[in-house]
Amino acid sequence: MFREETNETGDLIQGTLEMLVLKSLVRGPLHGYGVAEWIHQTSQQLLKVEEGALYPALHRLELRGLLQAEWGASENNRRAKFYQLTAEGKKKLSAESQRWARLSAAVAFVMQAS
Amino acid sequence: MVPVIHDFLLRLKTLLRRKKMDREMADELAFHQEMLREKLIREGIPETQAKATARRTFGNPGRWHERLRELWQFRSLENLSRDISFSVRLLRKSPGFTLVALLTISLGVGANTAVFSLIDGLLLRPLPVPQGEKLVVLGIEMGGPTLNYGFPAPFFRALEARPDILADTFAFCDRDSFLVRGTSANENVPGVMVSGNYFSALETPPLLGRYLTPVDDRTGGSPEGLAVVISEAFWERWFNRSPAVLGQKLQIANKPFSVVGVMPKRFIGADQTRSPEIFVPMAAEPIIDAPEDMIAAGHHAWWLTVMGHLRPGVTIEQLNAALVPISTSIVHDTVPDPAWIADQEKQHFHFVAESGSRGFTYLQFFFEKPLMALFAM
Repeated sequence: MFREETNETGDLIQGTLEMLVLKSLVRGPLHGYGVAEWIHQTSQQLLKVEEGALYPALHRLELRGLLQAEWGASENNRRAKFYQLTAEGKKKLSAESQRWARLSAAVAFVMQAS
Repeated sequence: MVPVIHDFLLRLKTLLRRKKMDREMADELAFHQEMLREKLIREGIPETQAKATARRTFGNPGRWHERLRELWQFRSLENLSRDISFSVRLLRKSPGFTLVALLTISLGVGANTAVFSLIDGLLLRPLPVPQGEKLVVLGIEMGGPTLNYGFPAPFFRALEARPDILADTFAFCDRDSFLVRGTSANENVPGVMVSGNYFSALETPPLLGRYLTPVDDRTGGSPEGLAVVISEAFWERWFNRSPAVLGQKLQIANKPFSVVGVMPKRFIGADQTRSPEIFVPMAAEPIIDAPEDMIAAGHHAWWLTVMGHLRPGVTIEQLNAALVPISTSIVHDTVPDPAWIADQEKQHFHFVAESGSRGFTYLQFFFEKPLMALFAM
């Protein structure tokens, strides 16, 4: 029943991308394109989310109940699927961001050692 | 909601609205592609090139659909349904084989169900009476391969007179047909001859009127005359459920018996394989069986099934222990044939009590081993 998308870059990246997607929705519902754009802009244009990774991530989060999807009208009056965080999604986001903070601190320690 | 449940439900929804999900996925991707194209145009790239770039970024739409759909698949269920429709198609192609297979399976299921129902009804199910677990059946150890479950009347009467050994001792004898004549009808009805304590021991109140009591179980019946009790089915058939049935006379063996009560449908007596429609006092047996008389035949007629209730606080083992001396004294008191007695005593003649919560029928006896063997198959 479960099938993890096998990404060549591995589960670590997949988990991080999901965390970024969850974060992008903190301020309100967005459609898929909006999520990618927000991440791109907010990361000072350093992170570009591939569509091939974005939509599987969004759908996977929806399947797990972390996101809720609804069809609506976009800014230019087109029909688009909007995603928003559920209560579980918010919980997962805070858990993931704590984990990430610990992980990046740990990596920094290792790299700073001479 | 637990993630697994959520996942399951969403996948189920997808399965049921396949086309809609497909269309939605296509729409979602098309939207993104549109936005991308517009952004490129805004950045100054000419339209045709923008379109081409956007399309290239997205790649083959078919492949997209596949990948996304894979996420949503309810793979196991879809596989199963595909297998099922394939099998159905195959079976339809060979109707002969399908027919034989279906018949075999239904025969197998049917046979098993039948055997189990028999086992359940005969061997497992308790009688629908209160205090069923306290019921015991009496048998006589006479040196045969099994106990003898038929008692002569004098043995029974002697036991009946000893409520200190067994409580509510009662006896009965099933009859396949009594020839009953009414004012407008004539019918052979199955029934049972019962002793005075039969109804009170089985503790089921009558639907109408009263049931037979020890007063009726005497030669000539009670002071009001010979009484019978009928079943609800009989009452419906013969008297159309009229309350005026009480006091009506039925002729059995040319003697009038008054209907004093009607028993409810759920009351089947102590033999769970029978549905008696008429209950006649056993003391009237010489009338019914005339010119034969099993009561007078004494120890030559082994016609009664005897049952009773364990007295409060007494176990079956204790009852069996008490029955041994009592058997000897009863035999000595009631049988006028010392040679016969001596013979029996060589075989350690004594009464034995067994659990009677399931009632008693000779069928359970004959069929226990074969039924179990069948079931094991």
